[in-house]
Amino acid sequence: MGIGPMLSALMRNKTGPALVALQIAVTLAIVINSLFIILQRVEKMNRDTGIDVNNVIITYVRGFGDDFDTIASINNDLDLIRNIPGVVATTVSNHVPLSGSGSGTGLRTVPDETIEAVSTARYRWTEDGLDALGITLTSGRNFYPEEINDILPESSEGSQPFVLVTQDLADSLFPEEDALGKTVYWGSMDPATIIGIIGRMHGSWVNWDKLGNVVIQPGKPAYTSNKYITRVEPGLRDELMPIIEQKLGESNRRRVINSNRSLEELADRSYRRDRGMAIILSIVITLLIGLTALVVVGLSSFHVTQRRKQIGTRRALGAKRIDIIKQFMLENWIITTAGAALGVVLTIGVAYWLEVSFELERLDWRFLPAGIVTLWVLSSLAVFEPARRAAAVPPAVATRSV
Amino acid sequence: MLQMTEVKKTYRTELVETHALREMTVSVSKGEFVAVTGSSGSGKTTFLNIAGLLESFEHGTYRLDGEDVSRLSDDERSTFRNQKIGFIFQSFNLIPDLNLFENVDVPLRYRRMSKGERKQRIEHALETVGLGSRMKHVPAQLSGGQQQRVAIARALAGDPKILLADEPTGNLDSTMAHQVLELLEEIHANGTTIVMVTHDQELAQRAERNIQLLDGRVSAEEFVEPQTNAQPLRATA
Amino acid sequence: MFKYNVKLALKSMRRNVILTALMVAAIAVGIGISMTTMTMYYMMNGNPIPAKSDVLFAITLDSWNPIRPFDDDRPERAPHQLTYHDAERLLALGEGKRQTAMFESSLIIEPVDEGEMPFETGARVATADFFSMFNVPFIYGSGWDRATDAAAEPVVVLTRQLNERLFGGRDSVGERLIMQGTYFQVAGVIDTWEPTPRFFDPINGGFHEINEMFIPYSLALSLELQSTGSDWGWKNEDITSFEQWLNSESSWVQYFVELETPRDRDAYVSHLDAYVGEQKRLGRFERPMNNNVYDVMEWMEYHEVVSNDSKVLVGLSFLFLTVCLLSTIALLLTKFIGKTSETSLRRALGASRKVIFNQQIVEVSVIGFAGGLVGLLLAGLGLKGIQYLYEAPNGLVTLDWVMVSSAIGLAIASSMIAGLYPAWRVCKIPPAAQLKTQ
Repeated sequence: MGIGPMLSALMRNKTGPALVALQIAVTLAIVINSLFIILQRVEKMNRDTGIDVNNVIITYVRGFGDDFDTIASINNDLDLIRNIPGVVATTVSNHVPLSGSGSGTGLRTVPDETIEAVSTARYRWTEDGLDALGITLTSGRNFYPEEINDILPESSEGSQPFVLVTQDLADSLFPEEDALGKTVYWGSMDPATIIGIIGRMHGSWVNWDKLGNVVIQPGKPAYTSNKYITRVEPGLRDELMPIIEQKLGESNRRRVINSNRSLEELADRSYRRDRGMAIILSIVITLLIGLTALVVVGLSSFHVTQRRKQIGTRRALGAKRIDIIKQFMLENWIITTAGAALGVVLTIGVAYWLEVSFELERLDWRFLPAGIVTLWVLSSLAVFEPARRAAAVPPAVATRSV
Repeated sequence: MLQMTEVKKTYRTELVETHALREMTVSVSKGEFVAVTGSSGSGKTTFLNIAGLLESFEHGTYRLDGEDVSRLSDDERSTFRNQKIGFIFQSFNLIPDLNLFENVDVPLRYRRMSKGERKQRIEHALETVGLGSRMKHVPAQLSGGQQQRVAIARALAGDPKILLADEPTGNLDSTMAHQVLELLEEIHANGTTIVMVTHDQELAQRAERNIQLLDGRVSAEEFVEPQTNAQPLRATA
Repeated sequence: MFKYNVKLALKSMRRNVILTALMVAAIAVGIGISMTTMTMYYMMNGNPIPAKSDVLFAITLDSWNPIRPFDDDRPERAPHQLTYHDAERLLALGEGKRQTAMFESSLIIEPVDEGEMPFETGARVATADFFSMFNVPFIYGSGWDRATDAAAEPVVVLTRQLNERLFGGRDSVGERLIMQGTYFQVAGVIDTWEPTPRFFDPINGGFHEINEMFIPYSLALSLELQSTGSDWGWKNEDITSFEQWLNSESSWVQYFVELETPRDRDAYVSHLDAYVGEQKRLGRFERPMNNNVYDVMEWMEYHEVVSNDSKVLVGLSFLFLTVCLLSTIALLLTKFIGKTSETSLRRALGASRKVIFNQQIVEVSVIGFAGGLVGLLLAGLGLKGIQYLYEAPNGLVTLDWVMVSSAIGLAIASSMIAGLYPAWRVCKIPPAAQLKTQ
């Protein structure tokens, strides 16, 4: 049987096939757009942070009482942590990268308030800060121990005029030239010299489009709450976390340990919306593909049963088994392809809606041909078993009366 | 009881016009047992479909049980079929997943009838055809003859004015056919009008009158002489 | 007749179990997914305080940098929090029926006995009016009064959970706590209170749990309480003391006012303009006059409390439901084709089109109802999953009776819609068609 008679058979009974084609079209639109969103979120979660996320422990402590000496407490704590075997490096920091909580500022290359500043996340830590996060400098130098002063809250008194910046920030500030050794200006118009450049490091807010912009100042922030960043030898993290908590707890009773977690956990929390979305959409498309496949199988099986007599007659008239299988597969292919054609239009429509209404990224066109090919394969698989059963109908059916 | 005057029916497709009935004029009186015969394509089935209000027609008039039924709406025809016509089909047309009781119940369900009355009628009808003890069986458990008797019970349960039978023995072997025919004669003897369409001349001879169709018209009519060997059976009850 | 139709529907469903199961599954999955995303959306988009959402207003004043706006992408917007200085002045003027300035902080509850462990606790620092403005329910005691605010007395209102932790859930009114070396007296304990979204502070998180305790705003000065919430600054000020910080141009105080009528609202905006005008003469507020009041729902909209992701999910899940309906229509059509001879027979035996139509509709309603019930189970599961994925507080995503009845309603309605066309096709089957040939 050629395409001509088959098409006319489909046209005569058009509602059923049209519904299946429409269903395939909407399925394609949902699956392609969802898959695109999922891949984007996965890509986002797997970005290189520049940080040794898996081996870092973050400890938040806070002292209380009038006589609490924050500066002495920080020094004692850092010594204590540093001397635990397995600890690579530790620092106190004003904020924790990837945690969702941070501080931001604007930098300029000239001391002129009227030109727009480059926004960046801002950290302050000791000479051990880079090592404590496993961050590598690509050029210039780290802070020297003698450059680290104690910095009290709500004041930057004691700040050194040196900073480290990430390559991303350097490129935004000085697009044309090497930033190392250049001077940048804070909002206060105080100058600072770039003494080192970090290849890559993510700041605190994972949803920010300038996540890679980071500036680091030397100093020990002596705030009410203190945040310690500690890197340990690979594999020792979970073992050392309770030890750090226990030792800190024993060393000073006038202090609360608010939280002692891995940086991995904090980062996971920052990405939980993205992860949630990716998981929900994965479930949605799995259910959707499963449902559509079952419906195609169910309908084809039913049609085989309905058309037993017709199939038998064809067989009696000389059709080979393979001819029957071909007939069913071809019929299915026509419906699928019609659905895919409509699906492409719908997919682009949905993609446009997502892009315009929700500022999602524009759909990568390569998803369309990939989706159609997958659709052909899946629907052929779905219809194969019913088609095989159709081919098994004996020609003798033709001569039976009922 | 049944009067068709110059009824015409044409089937049209894109390519062909088929004149199934051409000015058909037929009359059946109350209490008659009429056989309609003719070769394949003579218009037997179309006649039965129109007589049974299953199809509409273009021309002429049709009166059934004293009413002009030529131009009834679909709903009115449904009600008419339900209350005044009983059908017996060649292939029985029982619903396979309903038991005998439920099958006979089908037409009664479309009437406003109390549960008790329905039950009484169904049981009576099934007893009349000799299947009163098998009400919970499904059609597949019965022989062809028994199935046709259930179909007859279904037709009788509604207490129809006229019974339309379409080759009622066509799917049965001769013994079963004989039983079914005897049952029809018995029903006729009780006063029900019967119109039976058949191509079987021998069967047609059992009716009181034969109407022969050819090319959508009545070509001959004859009254059948009571045959000596065919004693009309009286109800034994 | 209805009972007979239901019976026929069940019989017909049993006749082709696989098709029926597929239809029920299609509707169930469609309802399950769309109800899950709808519930999430409905909770996020819900009115957290229906009784008062149109008389409570958040305030913004444009005290930002004369050179550039607070939000470059939306230059019409003023900063969404006030400076401490402005909040103090507005409280002192007190033009609304009630008002509160507030921010998030945290304090350490110090052990009274040796051996107990100190712990840090989140606090909302607010004025006396907070409780009456926001209809906060109490189990023990009450909030504090305005005199307490004026005298900056150290009192505290606990949440039910914190009272459970500190006092085992008993009536703790009059008990004392040590925080920052100061004795706080418990004024009251509030009952479970979970306005969703947390409308009074979408800035620090519309779906965070409410703070564990409440203390008077006037304590900020004497106890040097720092905000743990967000703060925004633009001006370079030489700050070396807490007092200088309080008087800086940093915006970190949230401000709500209760106004009873639209006229009060207009009057209040004029009042704000008058205040800012006065400040302009003192050299502050160098930007154009841009003072606003937002009612609760406007404030939720302003902060885009409903995430884009959840809107995308609602959109996609309704497309999903469309697929499910298309499946159902295709399956029903197929099923009805299988019933052609029976329908034709019923028609011959006197069933009118209407009777046949009704029978099909009853059948799809039964399928819809079954699908709805299963879908509801799936939605329940889905919401548990979402709660787990997003670490949402209890109560954010739960099915209430509105959602349960709309799930069943949606299932039946959509299956009816799906059933209409097939039912119409079936009742068009002529009575004679299938009787001869089988």
